Amino acid sequence: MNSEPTPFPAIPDDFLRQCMHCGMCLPTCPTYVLTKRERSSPRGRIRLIKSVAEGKLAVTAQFVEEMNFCLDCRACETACPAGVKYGRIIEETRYAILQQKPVTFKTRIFKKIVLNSIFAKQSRLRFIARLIRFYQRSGLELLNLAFNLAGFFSKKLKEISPLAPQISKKFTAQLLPEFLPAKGVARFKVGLLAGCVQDVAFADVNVATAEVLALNGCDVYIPRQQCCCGSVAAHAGDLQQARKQIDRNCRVFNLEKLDALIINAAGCGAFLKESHEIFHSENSDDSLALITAKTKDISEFLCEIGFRKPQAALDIEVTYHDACHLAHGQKIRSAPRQIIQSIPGVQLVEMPESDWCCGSAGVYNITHTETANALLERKMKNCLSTGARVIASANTGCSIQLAYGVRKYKTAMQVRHPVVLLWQAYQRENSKA
Amino acid sequence: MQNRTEATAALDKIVGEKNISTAPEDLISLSYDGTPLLEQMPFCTISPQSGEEICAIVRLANELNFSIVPRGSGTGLSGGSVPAADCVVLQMQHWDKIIEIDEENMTATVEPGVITQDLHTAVEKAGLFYPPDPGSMKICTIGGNVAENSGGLRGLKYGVTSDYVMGIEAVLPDGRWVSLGNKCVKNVSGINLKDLFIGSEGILGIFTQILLKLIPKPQDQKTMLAFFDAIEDAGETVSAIIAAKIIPCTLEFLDQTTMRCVEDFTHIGLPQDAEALLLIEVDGDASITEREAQQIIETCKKYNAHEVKFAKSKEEAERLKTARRSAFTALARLKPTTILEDATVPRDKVAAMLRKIQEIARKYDLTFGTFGHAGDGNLHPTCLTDERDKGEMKRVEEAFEEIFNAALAMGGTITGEHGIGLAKKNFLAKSELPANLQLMQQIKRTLDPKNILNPGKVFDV
Ligand SMILES: Cc1cc2nc3c(=O)[nH]c(=O)nc-3n(C[C@H](O)[C@H](O)[C@H](O)COP(=O)(O)OP(=O)(O)OC[C@H]3O[C@@H](n4cnc5c(N)ncnc54)[C@H](O)[C@@H]3O)c2cc1C
Ligand code: SF4
Ligand code: SF4
Repeated sequence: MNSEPTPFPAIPDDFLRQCMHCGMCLPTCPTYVLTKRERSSPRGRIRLIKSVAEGKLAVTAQFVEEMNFCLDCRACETACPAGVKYGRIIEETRYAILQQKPVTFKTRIFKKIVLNSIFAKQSRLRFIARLIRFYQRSGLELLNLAFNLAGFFSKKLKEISPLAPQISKKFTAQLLPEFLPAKGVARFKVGLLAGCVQDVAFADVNVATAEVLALNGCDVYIPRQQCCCGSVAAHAGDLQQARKQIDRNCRVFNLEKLDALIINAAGCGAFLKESHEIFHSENSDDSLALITAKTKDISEFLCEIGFRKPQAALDIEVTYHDACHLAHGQKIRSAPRQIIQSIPGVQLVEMPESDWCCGSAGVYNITHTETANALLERKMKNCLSTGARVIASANTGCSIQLAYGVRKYKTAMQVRHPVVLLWQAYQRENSKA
Repeated sequence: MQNRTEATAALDKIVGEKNISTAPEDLISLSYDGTPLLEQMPFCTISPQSGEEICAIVRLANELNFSIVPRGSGTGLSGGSVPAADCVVLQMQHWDKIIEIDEENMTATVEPGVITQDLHTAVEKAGLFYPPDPGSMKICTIGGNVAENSGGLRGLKYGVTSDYVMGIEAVLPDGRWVSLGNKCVKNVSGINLKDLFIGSEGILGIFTQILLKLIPKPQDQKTMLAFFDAIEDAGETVSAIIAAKIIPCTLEFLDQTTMRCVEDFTHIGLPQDAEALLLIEVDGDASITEREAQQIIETCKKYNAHEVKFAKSKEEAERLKTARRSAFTALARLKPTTILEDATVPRDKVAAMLRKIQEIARKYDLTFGTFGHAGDGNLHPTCLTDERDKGEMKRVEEAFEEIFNAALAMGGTITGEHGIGLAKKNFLAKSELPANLQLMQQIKRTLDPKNILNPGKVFDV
C-alpha cells in the first residue's frame, strides 16, 4: 500500500470490501452488456476505485471516463446479493474526482451560471424555460444562435437540441395555488416539491399530483419560494450548494409540520431519501435527517395511505417503465403498478426488461449521446413489443428521453406519469356525473 | 519475460489495436476472478477475433516465452482465470454466438463465450433442454463450464457439463487446431480425446467451439421447500430420498446462516428460526412428479421436517431457485471476506459431513454458512471471516485442511465442481495417487512443453 493519503477519503473501506467479485451483477449492467468490457462493469469499476483508494492506480483520464461512462442506474445494486452500496460508491467517487480536477474556466462559468444561479432559483429556470418554449414554438434557432455566439457548448447543443423536452404551456405556479386544501376531511398535511425540470417541462404532472393528493384527503402546500432539490448541484460536485437548497426547502415548506414531502420525480426522491448518507451526517435531528425521513414518492405515499380507487374507466393499454432511481434507487416497483391497475379499463402490459435503463440517466444523454441512443433503441423496442398505447414513467428524465424516443421512432405512443393517468380517471368521474 | 514490449507489438499485429490493451484500467479489472484473496495483473489483454488469430497468438507465445490465460466471465472459484506471472489474458466472453440448434439431432453448436442462461433460453424456445445450470448461470460462459466441468442445481438427476459435451474444437498449446467428437451419439474412432479437455481448467487447450447434447424439455415440475429444526435431520432426509430410489432433479441444502442472508437479500419469506432448509424439485411427466412429490413429503416428515410447502406457481419456483443461486454472494453480507469450499462426499455421507463441518467450525471458533448441492454430496462450507485478521486466517486455513481430510476419509473429493486452479493446488497430491498426478503432469508436458497455457494452475510441471 502507498503511504500517501488516499484520494477518496469519503468511501469507507468496508463499502469496497463488501464486493466479493462474484460477477452476479454483470448481466444487469447496461454498460457491460453493451461493451463486454470488464472495466465497464460494476465489479470492474469497484476494483478500479479500490485500486485508486489504495494508491495502486492514479486518477487517470481513462479512470475518470470509466466512472462517467457508468449510468449510475444502480441495476447492479438490485442484483448484488452481497448488498454492495454501489450508488454510494460511484457517487462518492465522482464527487472526489470533481473536487480534485483542476477547474477549467468553462466549468467555472458553467457552475456559476447553471448551478448557483439557474437551478438555485426556480424563477430563473422558468425564465430560461420560457426562452426555450419561445424557441420551440417559433421554430427560430434563437437559442442555438445565442449559445453559438457565446461559444459555450455549441457543438454539443446542436447534437442534443432534439432531446430538449417540450416545455409546458404553463408552469406549476401558474396552474396551482400555494395551498390546495383537501377535498373533504383533511387527513394529512403534505408538501409538493414541484421539481426544477418537472416544473417547466411537465407541469401537468404537478397539477395531477396535487389534485390527486387533495382528493385523497391531503392539504397540499406548494410554496413559491421552494427550489430544486439539490441533486443537480450535488451531481456536479457542489455539495455545499446542494446543502443550501435542502436547508432552504426545509424552511420554506416548514417541513417539521408536514406529514410528508411528496416527490413525483424519482431522481429527486432517491437523492433526498439518501441525503443523510450523501452528506455523511451523523446528526439525527438536522435538516438532512428531516428531509430523509419526510420524503415520499407520490405512488409510494398514495399506496401507504390507501388511495381511493377511481370509479370511471380509461380504456387503454399501458406499459410501465421502471425508472432506475425508483426501482433500483428506492426499491419501489409495485406502487406505481398498483396505481395503474387500480384504474378500471386499464390493462397493464408488462414490457420485457422494464427496469433496464432508458439512457436518460441524469445528463447522460447529453454527455454520452451514442450509448444513450443505443439504450433508448433497446427500450423503445421493448415498449413497442407490448402493443400498448401509453408508456407510464415516473421520472422526469425518463419521460423526456421516452418522449424523444417516441418522436425519433415515429410511434403513436404517449408518455404519461402514473399519477396523471389516475387524475384523468378521477376527472372522468365528474364528467360522467 | 524479457521483452514485454516486443510481445505486445507482435500481438498488436495479430489482433489489431482495437482488440489489445495494456492500459492499467484494463489490466486491473482482469486481475481477478470470483475467488477470494487471489489477484495478479497480466501485462496485456487481448480479445482474439478468430481461431486463426488464436493459433498465431499461441505460436507467438512459444516463440517469445510469455504465457496465456484464457478467460470466460471470470466467475471461477478456484482462480482458473486469475492471471499468471507475465501473462496475456485471452478474453473469450465476446465469442458469444449460438451457431446452431439442431432440433433433429438435438444438439447445440456454440462459441465458448455464450452465457449459459442464454443457451437455456434459446434451446427451451425449441422445446429442448440443456440441464447444467451452475449458480452463476446468468453470467458464466459455456467455455468456462466445460473447462471446470461445472455442475449445477439439476446435477442430481441430469449430471454435470461433461454429460452433455459431444464435441470440442480447441487450439492446442503448440498452435495446432483440433476438432474432437461430432454429432454421432456413438463414436469410438480412436482414443476419446474430447473428454481429456473437459475439466482441463484452461491448461490443455483453448476452446473455440463446443458441441452440446440437448434433451427434450421435461413437461412438469414440482418445487418444494422443507424446513428442519436440526441439520442432521435434513442430511438424513437427503440420503433417505435417494435410498427410496427417487431421483429429484434438484435437492439443495441451506443452513440457518445462509438462509438468513438469502432472506435479507430476497425477502421471499424464509423463516428465520429453522435450522436447515431443503429445496427439492422433481420433474418429468405430471403423473410421475405428483407421485414422487408425495413420497418426498412423507420422507421429509418422517425425518422431522416441521414444515413442507409447495411453490404455488412457476414464477414462485423460479424465485426460490434464484434465491438459492444467490446464497454464496449473499453470505458476503455478514463479513468482509467470504471463503467457500467445495468438498464432496458420497451421497450417503451427507449427514456425517454436515456434522463434521459444525464440529470443525466450533473447534476453530469460526463462523460458517453451509449450503450446497446436497443431493450430489457436494457441500459448500463457507467461512465468513476477515482477511485482515491474520490470526483468524491461520485458523481458517487449518479448518479447511481438516474439512478436506474429513471428506477424503469418507471417500470423497476436495472439489466437486469448482476445480483445483490455484486455490486447491496444494491439496491435489493428497487427493490423487502419485501415479494419477504423474500421468496428469505427463499429459500437460506432452501437449505444452513450454508451459505457456495457464501455467501454475492445477499442478506444477
Ligand atoms: C455465485 C457463483 C455461483 C457458482 N455456482 C456454481 C455452481 O453451482 N456449480 C459450479 O460448478 N460452479 C459454480 N460457480 C463457479 C463458476 O461459475 C464456474 O466454474 C464457471 O464454469 C466459470 O465460468 P466462467 O465463464 O466465469 O469462466 P472463468 O472463471 O473465466 O474461467 C474458468 C476456467 O475456464 C478456463 N476457460 C474459460 N474459457 C475458456 C476457453 N474458451 N477455453 C479454454 N479454457 C477456458 C479459464 O482459463 C479458467 O481456468 C459459481 C460461481 C459463482 C461466483
Ligand atoms: S457488486 Fe455484488 S454482485 Fe457485483 S461482483 Fe461485487 S459482490 Fe458480486
Ligand atoms: S450503476 Fe448501472 S451502469 Fe453503473 S455499474 Fe451499476 S449497472 Fe452498470
